[in-house]
Amino acid sequence: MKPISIRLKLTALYVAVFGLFLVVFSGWVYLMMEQKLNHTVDQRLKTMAELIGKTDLCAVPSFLPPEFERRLNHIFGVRPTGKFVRLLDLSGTIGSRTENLEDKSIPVNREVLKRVTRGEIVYETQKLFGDEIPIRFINYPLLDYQKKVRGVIQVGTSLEYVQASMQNLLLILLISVPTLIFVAGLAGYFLAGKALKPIRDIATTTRHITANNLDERITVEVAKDDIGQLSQTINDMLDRLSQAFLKVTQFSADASHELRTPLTILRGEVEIGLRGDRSAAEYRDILVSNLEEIERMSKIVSDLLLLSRSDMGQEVLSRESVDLQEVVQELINQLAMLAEQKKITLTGDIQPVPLVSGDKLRLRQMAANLIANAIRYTSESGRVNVRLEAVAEGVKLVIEDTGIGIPEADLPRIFDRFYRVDKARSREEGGSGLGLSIVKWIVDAHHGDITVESVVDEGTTFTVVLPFSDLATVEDEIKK
Amino acid sequence: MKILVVEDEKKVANFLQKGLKEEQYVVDVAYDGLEGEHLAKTNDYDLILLDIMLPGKDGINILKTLRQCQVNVPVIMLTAKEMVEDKIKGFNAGCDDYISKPFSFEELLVRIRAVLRRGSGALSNVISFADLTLDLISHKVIRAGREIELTAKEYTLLEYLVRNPNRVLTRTMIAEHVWDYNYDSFTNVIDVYINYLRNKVDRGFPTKLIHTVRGVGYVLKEEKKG
Repeated sequence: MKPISIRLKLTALYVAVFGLFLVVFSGWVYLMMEQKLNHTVDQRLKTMAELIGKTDLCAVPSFLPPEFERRLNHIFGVRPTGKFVRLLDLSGTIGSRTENLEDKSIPVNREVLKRVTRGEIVYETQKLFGDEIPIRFINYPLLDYQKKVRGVIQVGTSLEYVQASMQNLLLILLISVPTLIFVAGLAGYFLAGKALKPIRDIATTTRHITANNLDERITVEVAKDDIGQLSQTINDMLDRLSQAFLKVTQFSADASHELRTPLTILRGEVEIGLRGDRSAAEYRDILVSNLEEIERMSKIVSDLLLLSRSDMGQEVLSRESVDLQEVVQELINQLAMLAEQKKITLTGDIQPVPLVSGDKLRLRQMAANLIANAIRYTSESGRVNVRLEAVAEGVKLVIEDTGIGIPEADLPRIFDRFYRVDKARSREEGGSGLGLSIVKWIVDAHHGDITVESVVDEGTTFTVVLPFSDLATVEDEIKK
Repeated sequence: MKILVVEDEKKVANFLQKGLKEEQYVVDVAYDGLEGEHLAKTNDYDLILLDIMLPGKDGINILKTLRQCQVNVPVIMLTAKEMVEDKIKGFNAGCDDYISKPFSFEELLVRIRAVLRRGSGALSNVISFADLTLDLISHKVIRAGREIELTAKEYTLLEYLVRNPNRVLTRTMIAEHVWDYNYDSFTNVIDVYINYLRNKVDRGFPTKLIHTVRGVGYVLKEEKKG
């Protein structure tokens, strides 16, 4: 997914949430404001009605409007502009009233009158005189000396101010809310962009990393934050990738190098052989040498194939119960010839061991490689001893030689593919450079363990421990 | 022309030695880096074929050391490494050419000739002095239109003389360029071969080309005998 769309998504989400909050908040403000304003109006009306009720304005049945107004002026200090005041008796007959009600009649609501008679204060909103603007009234009970209701004080005021205020507020809200949402959207877009920039940078860097520039890394600005961690994770992955690549490159370079040498020899010897007339003996020498190189190449190729198949998990090992005693004894008998040629004493100390579970062919190959190696790197009149015994962890195969040994510095790398301690010697002895890699793979595939100890010019000891076959353990237990 | 082959793979070194000898080159072989470097420093070779992966000291480092010690002999890198970076490394260290294994021997010969030609300033595979002409590829020697039959050693000796005309060449110089390191300096083999050459090249021609510098060696120059 493109980072830009995440940016838009984030912005949209942000705008939606912010907009919703803003609208709810505005609605709440609007309602509260309206309520407050109305409440204030009601309070004022009530105060006024209370004041009127306490005066002698009501004692006299009625005043003419000019007189009533004069007296109201006297009570409140100022002319109560915009207020309508009138007095009613319980029958609804209109008594004193302000001048502005002179020629206008407010209908008397009987229901309201009844409630006021019971002592209630009743507010009502009415549209009067065909006006658009409603008028708010308070119907306040007028009490006599015995606190008995004897009439109604009606005080009214136009709600024009309230309505105008509410309209202004609405206008302000209608303009400011969308503006705020828009501005917030822009800010959100900008912030999202800023927050996503490191991710875009990572994407840009990562996009142009190929096999050829795997050593490039993403700059980690703040290691502790999320982006830093993401960058670190990608960098770590790149580390692992480039190591794997390096290994593969090294391996294929090594493999091609290994195959180039015999090819060079084949080509060179044949070319030079063909440059002039040679004796039969010379031709034979060339052919013998060529055959050696071809055999070497076949061995390298088949070893390589085996290893690459094992790498890909295509080399499937069979699982059978293998009697190592038989396998190793047979090998010693076969390799005795090779040892004899080099005047090396090959001895075996083979004890009966429980069965191990594994691939007989591969286990045989493993033991053969190790024993042949020991013979290969032991000089004339040396000794190679093969020991097989059962130990607590499994079956232990030990191959000791009195050979040239392996320098300590080379020990950790001897199982690496094409790693040779002595390149010239290994080639002369016909090694492919893959023998120990194959041994290691076979031992690992059997969940075994291989260790090596060596002292230069004294000898080398390879120790392989293979776990018992589950089947064998069961059989042994049954025997007991 | 004397060539040093530094190559640890014995079979490769052997066929190179055999093939180059058949091409009338004098060949010394070193099987490891240190021996190769020592031979290159102490002998006057006309060309070195240098492997890169060598026991003892690798080819690139040998080459660097040689160039530092002002040994400016032409060097052809001969190696299984064929990555561009390896070639760049080789050329930066001061090699004159680079050939990857497996190579065609014919190609190697052509490259050797080209490198040697560049070193001598010549532009073709024919070198000549006075009325004497040597074809470096076919090894044909012609004097005044007449072909002269020479043995391999005679040819090598003559080529060395023709490449260094009008210059006194001591017996030691001749031995170093024409004989390999098995040459025994107490014999008079050089004088014997110079004699053979005189018989074939100078006899019957009014102008003698090979002259003795008493007590020192020989010189190839055009001088009518009084």
